[in-house]
Amino acid sequence: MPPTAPRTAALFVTCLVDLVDPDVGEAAVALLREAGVRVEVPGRQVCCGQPAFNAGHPDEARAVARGLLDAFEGHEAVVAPSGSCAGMVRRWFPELFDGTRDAGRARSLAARTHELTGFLVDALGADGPGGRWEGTVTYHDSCHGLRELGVGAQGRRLLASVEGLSLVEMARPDACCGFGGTFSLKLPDVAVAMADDKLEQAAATGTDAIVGGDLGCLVHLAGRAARTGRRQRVLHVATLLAEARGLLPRRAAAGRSG
Amino acid sequence: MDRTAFLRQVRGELRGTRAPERPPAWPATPASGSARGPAAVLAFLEALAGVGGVGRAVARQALAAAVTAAAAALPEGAGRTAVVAPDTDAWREAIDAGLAAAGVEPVRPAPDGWREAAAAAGMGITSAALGVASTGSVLIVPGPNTPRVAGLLPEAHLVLLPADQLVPGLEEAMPVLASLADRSSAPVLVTGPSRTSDIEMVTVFGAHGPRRLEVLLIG
Amino acid sequence: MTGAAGSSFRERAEVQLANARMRANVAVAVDQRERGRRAIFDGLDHAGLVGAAQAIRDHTLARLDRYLGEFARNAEARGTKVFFAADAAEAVGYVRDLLAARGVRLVAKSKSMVTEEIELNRGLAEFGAEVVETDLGEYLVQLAGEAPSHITAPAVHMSRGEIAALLSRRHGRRLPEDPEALTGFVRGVLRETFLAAGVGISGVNFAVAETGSFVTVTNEGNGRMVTSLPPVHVAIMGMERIVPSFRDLGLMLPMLVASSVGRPVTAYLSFVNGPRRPGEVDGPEEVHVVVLDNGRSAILRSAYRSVLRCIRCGACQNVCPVYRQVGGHGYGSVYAGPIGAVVTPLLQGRDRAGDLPFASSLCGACDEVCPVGIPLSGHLLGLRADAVRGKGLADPETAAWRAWAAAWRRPETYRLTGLVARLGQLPLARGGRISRAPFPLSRWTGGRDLPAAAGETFRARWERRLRRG
Repeated sequence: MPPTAPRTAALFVTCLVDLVDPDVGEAAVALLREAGVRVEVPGRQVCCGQPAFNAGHPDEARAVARGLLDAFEGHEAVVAPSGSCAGMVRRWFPELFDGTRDAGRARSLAARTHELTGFLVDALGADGPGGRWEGTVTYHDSCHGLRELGVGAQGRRLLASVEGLSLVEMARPDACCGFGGTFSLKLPDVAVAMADDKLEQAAATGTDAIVGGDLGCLVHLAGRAARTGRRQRVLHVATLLAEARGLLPRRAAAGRSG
Repeated sequence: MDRTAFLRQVRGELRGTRAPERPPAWPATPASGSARGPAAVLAFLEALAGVGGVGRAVARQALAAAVTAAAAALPEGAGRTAVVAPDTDAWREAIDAGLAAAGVEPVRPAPDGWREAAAAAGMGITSAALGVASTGSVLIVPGPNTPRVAGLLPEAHLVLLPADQLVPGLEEAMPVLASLADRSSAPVLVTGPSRTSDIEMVTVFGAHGPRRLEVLLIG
Repeated sequence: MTGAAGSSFRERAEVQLANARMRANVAVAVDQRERGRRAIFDGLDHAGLVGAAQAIRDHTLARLDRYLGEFARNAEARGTKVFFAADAAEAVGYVRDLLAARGVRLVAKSKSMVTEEIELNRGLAEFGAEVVETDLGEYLVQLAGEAPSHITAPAVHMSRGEIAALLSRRHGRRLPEDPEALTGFVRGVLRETFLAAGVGISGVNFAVAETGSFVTVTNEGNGRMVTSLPPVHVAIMGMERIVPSFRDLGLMLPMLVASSVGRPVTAYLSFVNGPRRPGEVDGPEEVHVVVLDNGRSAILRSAYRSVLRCIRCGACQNVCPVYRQVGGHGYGSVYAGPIGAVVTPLLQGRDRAGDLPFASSLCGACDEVCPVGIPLSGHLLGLRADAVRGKGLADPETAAWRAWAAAWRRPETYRLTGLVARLGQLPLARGGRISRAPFPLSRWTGGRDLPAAAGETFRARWERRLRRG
């Protein structure tokens, strides 16, 4: 661990993980502890406001996002198992709160917020938890993590520490899967067509699972995969890593996200 | 709309705007180059070949033979005449001898006969003002001795350019272009033959202009 | 203009999604373009180049009135006539009057997005002129009665079979499904047009203030033909297409071409310094430039000024995952893809294209490839917020978001959401999945399963454990 590495991390659970797949949160906590940091889960956190922000409702987004400024006040590092939520805070909070009395707090939180795999590798210098996971996977780069935070190689590096696992890249790992938050409800047909492209490319790798770092994408892909009878599992990278290291009970269900 | 009013409106919309300075320099562009001398010749030939053009470095004494080779490569069905722009008069003997050896007739039309002659010709021969080593481009400068149609209408365009007229990259061609604003109505940088990929992204040469472009760098 | 008037993006997208061949063609084409773009910038300082190009554009836009005035003065000093058009009607009217004055009926035209924007062809056709598009792709879409579907590859949605059938039908002969033969055939047809046309019309890729020159960028050479063979040449430019000096073109031209087709330059970079000079053998006797505002000056003052940096390379279209699915025609506007979703509502009014900013997953791929650093995703977000504000508080969607914000601004009320979700899904969930849900979630479950909410939230688990110690 680099000498300047944070000793504690506050987990930003994210609303999607909290409500839909709590195991991702468990996995994140386990991986952070394994990497040597003390984990806290501030109780008053809710959501970064991104759904409203992306739908053109910045006022409503700000009202909800303000809760995060309070919840994570004073925490040296805030870590989310989502590139999209972390990107919202890091890339957009300064703009969202610009000109308000919370501008300074928003900039401060932005500077302290990290995506999980990026935090493990870049801030903690982790090489990955190791462990064993028999199977082949392909990696989906979620857009916001990749483009707003530069997260992509880190998840792959962590996976490389797992014995028995091999990674096969798909044709366009950085192409959007079509989730896009409310986009997937506003233009469902386009979103589904994009998911089909992604699932097709993932299937062409012949791997057992699609792994990614954002539950939104994964829920979208898993939902489409289930509907079209595809057999690849869809897994959050944190879940896989924690499973491999024996930090979480293994799940068997195919097609299930998380 | 009245010009003054138009510009006044634009100015009004810009009130209070600060203009950032233009960059004094920028990193190398895809068209930048640094090759000079013999390296520039090699770079030019390679770049031109890369876009489907033909380039040769020829000694002045070998010019006639090179012209013969270019004329012999005319596609079947192309006219057996070559319109020759007066800007190539310095090489007239070699051109005529070279064409004759290939059985192609040189034509030097009167000013009002150029369009018709060029449309019927298999080949147009012009000089160029400079070449860009990094891109394989030649700068054609229309004028009294360089009709535009000479390099536009025939099936093939043969360009004669002294090898010492190469500049390293596109940036170095820009001052020349600026200086031509008062000397030519329409200079053109030509890079390889006319081409299109509008049908299923398949590249086809000779979309509208010459199907074949050959540049002789005369050393 | 494509797209039935009044149709929504969603409706048009549905039509395009059903066109499997179009989607396959578009996917192949945009991938090829993007591969080329990546390859040519490989090893170069792309960010540095973008920064410099952006600075040139921003500098020019901030002094646009001065540079336009300088351009006009210098162009006129070299014999070019310059007309400033406030809107499409003035621009079309100028060209129409010119055709009338010169008694011209046949016009040869090279590809120009701005002439699509002002619907020049329709305006001239109503007047009885025949306007022939001479870019191969543009000629094909004109013959088909369609609109271009990509900025730099207008017929990208057509297959060779469709093209052969189209040309065969229109020219009364059987043509093979072979790109080379088809191109050769069109070459012959259009050669006659170039030679016979009384007026040539082109766009302008860049105009140069210091000399009053301008440049057209083509691979086919039709730009050179149109600006050289007819006795009168009319160029139409959006007023933002200007650079201060030739020096700037040393950067801007390769940025345009490399971003567009993955090459350093195109086959023809054709400069126009004015009409044929005394002693010159050929070239037009008259050159006219129409400088068009048509909504641009209003953008200058807005938060969206940087959209006027656009040099129409099409790179954002090539990487856009939405464009890939619905093609240019899905947008129902002249400018498609991310740049179209931003610029169309700004130029045409939010009422006509207000849903385009929502036609994006906000993946940000466009931001990365834009050679002049336009923050396209940021502008899409801004336009979305503008659209929402315009609808007012009575809008049901706004009401829903307000209710959401009221609940989620506090953890106490947020927790209720989890509870409500778990109760609400009871009749719907099977094996952890929901396959059918009521509106608005039916929008989701129409094509995808929805995961059932977890039995216990992460935070409830965590707090339970903390209590246990």
